Amino acid sequence: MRDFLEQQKYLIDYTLAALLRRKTRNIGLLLVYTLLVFLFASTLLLGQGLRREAAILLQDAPEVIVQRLVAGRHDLLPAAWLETLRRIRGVGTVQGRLWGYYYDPAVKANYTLMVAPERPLAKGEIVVGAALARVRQIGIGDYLGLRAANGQPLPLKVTGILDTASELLSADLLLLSEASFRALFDFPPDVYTDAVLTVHNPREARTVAEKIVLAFPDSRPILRSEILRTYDAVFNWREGMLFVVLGTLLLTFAILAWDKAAGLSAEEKREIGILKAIGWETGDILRMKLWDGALLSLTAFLVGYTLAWWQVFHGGARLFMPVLKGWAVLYPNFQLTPAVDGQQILVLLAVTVLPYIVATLIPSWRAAIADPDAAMRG
Amino acid sequence: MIEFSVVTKVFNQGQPNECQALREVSLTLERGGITVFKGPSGSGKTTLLTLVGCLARPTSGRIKLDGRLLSNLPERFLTEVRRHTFGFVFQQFNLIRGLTVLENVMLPAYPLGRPYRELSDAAREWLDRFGLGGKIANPVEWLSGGEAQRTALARALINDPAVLIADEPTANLDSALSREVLALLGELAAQGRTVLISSHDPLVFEAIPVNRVIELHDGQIAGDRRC
Amino acid sequence: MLIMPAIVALQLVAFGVTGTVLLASGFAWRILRRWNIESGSELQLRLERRTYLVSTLVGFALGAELLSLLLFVHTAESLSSQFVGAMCATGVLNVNAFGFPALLLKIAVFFLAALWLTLNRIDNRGYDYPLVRLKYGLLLAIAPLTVVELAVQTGYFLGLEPEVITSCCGSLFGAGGRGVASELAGLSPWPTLILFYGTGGLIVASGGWLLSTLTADSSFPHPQPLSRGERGAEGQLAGMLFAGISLLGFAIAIAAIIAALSPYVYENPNHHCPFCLLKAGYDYIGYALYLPLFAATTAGLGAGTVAPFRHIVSLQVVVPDEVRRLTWLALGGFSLFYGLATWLMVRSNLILLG
Repeated sequence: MRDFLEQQKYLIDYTLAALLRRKTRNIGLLLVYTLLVFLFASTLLLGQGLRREAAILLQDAPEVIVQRLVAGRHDLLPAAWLETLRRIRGVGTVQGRLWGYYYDPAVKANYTLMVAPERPLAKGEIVVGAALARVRQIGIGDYLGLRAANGQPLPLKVTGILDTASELLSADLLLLSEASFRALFDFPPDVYTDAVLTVHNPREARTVAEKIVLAFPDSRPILRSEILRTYDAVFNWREGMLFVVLGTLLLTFAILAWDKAAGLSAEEKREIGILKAIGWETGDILRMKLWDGALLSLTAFLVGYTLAWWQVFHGGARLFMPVLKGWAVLYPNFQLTPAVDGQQILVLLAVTVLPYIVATLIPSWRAAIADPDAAMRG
Repeated sequence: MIEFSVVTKVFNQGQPNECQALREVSLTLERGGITVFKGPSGSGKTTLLTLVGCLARPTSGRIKLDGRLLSNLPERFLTEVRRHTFGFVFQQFNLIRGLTVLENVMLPAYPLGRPYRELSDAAREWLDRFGLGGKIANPVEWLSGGEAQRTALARALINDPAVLIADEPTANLDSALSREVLALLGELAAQGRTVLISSHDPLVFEAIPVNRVIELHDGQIAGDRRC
Repeated sequence: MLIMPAIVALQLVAFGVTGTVLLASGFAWRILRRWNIESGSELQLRLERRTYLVSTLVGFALGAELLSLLLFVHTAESLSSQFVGAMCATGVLNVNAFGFPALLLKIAVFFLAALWLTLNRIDNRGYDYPLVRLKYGLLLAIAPLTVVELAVQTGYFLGLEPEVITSCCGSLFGAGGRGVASELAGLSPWPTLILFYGTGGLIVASGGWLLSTLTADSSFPHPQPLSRGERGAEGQLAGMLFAGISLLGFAIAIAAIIAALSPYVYENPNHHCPFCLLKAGYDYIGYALYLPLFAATTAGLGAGTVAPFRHIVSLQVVVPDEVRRLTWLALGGFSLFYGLATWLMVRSNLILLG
């Protein structure tokens, strides 16, 4: 065993020296390898980060949202529903919500307008999200003029700006009072946009949803777990697509690796011939070549992963954000929480290191089977 | 000690450039002493030496080392035997550029996993003996012809082999340096190692006490003289 | 079909494994046809060199298969939020009929590849490559298995429809359902544990017996062929017994995990799922359990497979060495596993027995 370890140390020593001797040959491959790891790792880290963010934020989302459908489209919910919903077994609290979208032609953006009962506002006062404030360039005390449903302008005074820490949720948010809301959208007094429920036992959420549909056949209950599932699926899908697209780079890299491993310079061939002549066996040369690949892979992996990590969690992830976040005008600024995951590393290894090994196996072997007596025959 | 029975070596079998380097050669080499192989180029000298030193396998025939059959051993085992029994000095020196003198000498022992301390001490000993003690950290590109040859000799001896095989050791050296190298070979032979040299340099016969001369011609033994 | 990085990676690895094993088999076939150890011809030399390639390829396949196994279970675990009714890997694997077969095939390929590499190791140390035909024949048998594994895995991923409502581990590994998993979960803990520890004892006993039949023949390099009586028929029997018991030990360990150990770890008498052990919530204890178990089983199988070849002249020294090594490895791995399992049961707050 000690011999084995000693032998590996010698092989690594020799390989390292050989790599350093032929820096120019290896640097090109190393750069591409690192780039490959960087791109794949960035995708994974970003996707992971976004998924976690969504899960954390949705923790406080309502358990069940009930909407009314008319001809398959979301319609307004009658206030009378709330009482019936309260009486369903398993339902905790029921609350009607008022919210909607407003298209602002000035900046071509959609705002989300909402009445937040826990933040009482006087009529005519609003609180806006940080991104909205940035885009519209308004601050506290400024007025925002919105057009009501009846065509009249409705001036609203900004009395607060939402915290940037919550930007992911509140970027395009505009909070206002119930009175202002109903005035702006011409909402009758006995309707709500939808209703939110809590359930006593979260595991019974599905059963409660079934009961709601029985009570109101034209309703659509949406479960929080389903929202999470959908977000997961979207991020998964987008990550996956990026992976497939990066597949072309992977193929190019594999060909490059094969080429480099197969195209031994005359000097390298001479060296291997000498090694075999002085007592190195085919297996030893093969092992040396494998260490060669291992050292290269380790370097590329560490550097690529570190760069990706830095880029995603400290650099704003500018590279891939657009693809993974989707299309919108108002982008929240937020920092993702770093997290490593064993599965991520395995996936990375599988799409970067493994193909490299596959591409270099046969060329390494070909190099290792040189004739030992070639050095004698000159 | 080394027995050849009807050994033939063919290269590029079955192809248009097929070449019979050795034809049905039978030979017995004893331990000890200096044996010189003579013959024009193409006579099969080098091929014979590669077969003796377990660098290659014969196409047909049998080779035995101390009674043990070697000719059908797979390469892996042949290398095992070779490592512990034979040391090679090549005509072209064949040192690895980019490594130091010391590293080059230690190289053959790497696959054996000998402890570093022990290995480097053994290497230094040999290099000191050959007068290269001050140059162990030099890259081999800085060495002169004679120094390179002596480094190659130290490398051949690192695993303490019983047999030393030198292929045209004086071909790339002038007569002064040739005498030096030959003197070293003579010393080693005097200490009990078997020395096999292939050469057509008459200096070899002047400088060292040769015990046996084997002449090769067209892949067969044309003469076998003991002195 | 779900397109996500882990699945893309798994498919890539599966293609890689199948590709390399098929390639290796191609070489193996050619080697088998023209192999002649006595000949010194250039063809024979080329064939011998090619054997290095085959063993490197299979070695790679083994490593990749291990990675694939880990990633597969991990991925099934992480997809549990995507499927209604699934709370852990069990539910995800149950979405269509290919899930569990894919897992089982992976385990089978892993064991076979490890076995092949063990055979290869001792074959390489015999100066006349005595096991060439057996070895490459085995490889040709493993190759189709990798193709089937690829097909089943692909079928599984293609059939992963998130709209399918699958069953969670509670119903699959719950006492009330049908099928093998339920049967296992329904085993009462007391007899299962008796069987578990009984098998453990058998493993130690057969391992000890195997070790006692090993005597190194030190007349290398000219070992004499053994007479019939000395051929160690006893050794062969002990070897095969140990291999069989290792496999049995593996199966019973899994059964014990499902029936008895899991409830202790989850501190819930109705939770029998063997995959939930791998979750972060249980400190990933599943890995500490499964890795030694797999290693031990592989070593035990290896020891048993190698032991019958003692009578081959060129392997007389090699085989006892290797069998000894593997047997100790197996015993060590099983001890670790049993030790950990016992500790987990003892420290649990659950009282299942008495």
